[in-house]
Amino acid sequence: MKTQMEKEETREAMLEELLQHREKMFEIIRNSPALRKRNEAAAASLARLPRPFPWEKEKSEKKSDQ
Amino acid sequence: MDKDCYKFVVGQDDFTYIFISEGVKGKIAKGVLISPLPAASVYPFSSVYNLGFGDFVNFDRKWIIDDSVRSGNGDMPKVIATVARIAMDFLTKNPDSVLSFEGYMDEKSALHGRNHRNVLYQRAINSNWAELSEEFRFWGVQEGKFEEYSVGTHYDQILVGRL
Repeated sequence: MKTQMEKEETREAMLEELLQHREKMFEIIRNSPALRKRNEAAAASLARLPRPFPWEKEKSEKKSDQ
Repeated sequence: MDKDCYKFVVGQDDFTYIFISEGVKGKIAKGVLISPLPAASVYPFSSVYNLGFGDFVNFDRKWIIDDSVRSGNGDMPKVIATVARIAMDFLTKNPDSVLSFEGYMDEKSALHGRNHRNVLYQRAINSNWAELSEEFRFWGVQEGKFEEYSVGTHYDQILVGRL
């Protein structure tokens, strides 16, 4: 059985190894199911709100003024 | 907002960011993803993006991003200030975009009926309001309605764009 301290040392060592591979880290972020899920939840929240959104209304008004 | 932030690295795509939190538990790598939300066909000029972030966690010998974890590294204000700084960086590069962010609703937040991470985001916004409101415009969503952001009001969702 690993002690908590040993576990922590292993985690830190693995993290140091990961930090050497920045592109891999960016790829993990891009392909993250948790963040994708968060994006879908945000999209669903916005979809429930009435359009136009405040900034859309303003842009739309500006366009019609031109 | 620069006062107490971690340095961050931006991915080549300009949508991914990494920074390292250093606190009582040692180093914890954090990942931020800014991803587009579907545009309504009637408002194609509206570019809304979502900002999500989480910790790099080693699960079963594989690194994943966990956005539900409470890191407990004792540096939450600094982490939130860094995420806010990243949001500003993105909006400076993409001035016509609007960023949406909503904190993860964990069990503790659900129990108290208030999104704890949103409270922290708002604390960071409110304490830097004088500076931020000169460059950025904020909106809040409360009970399914948009309103101009008002310091002191709690929102379910926060959106920000450049002035």
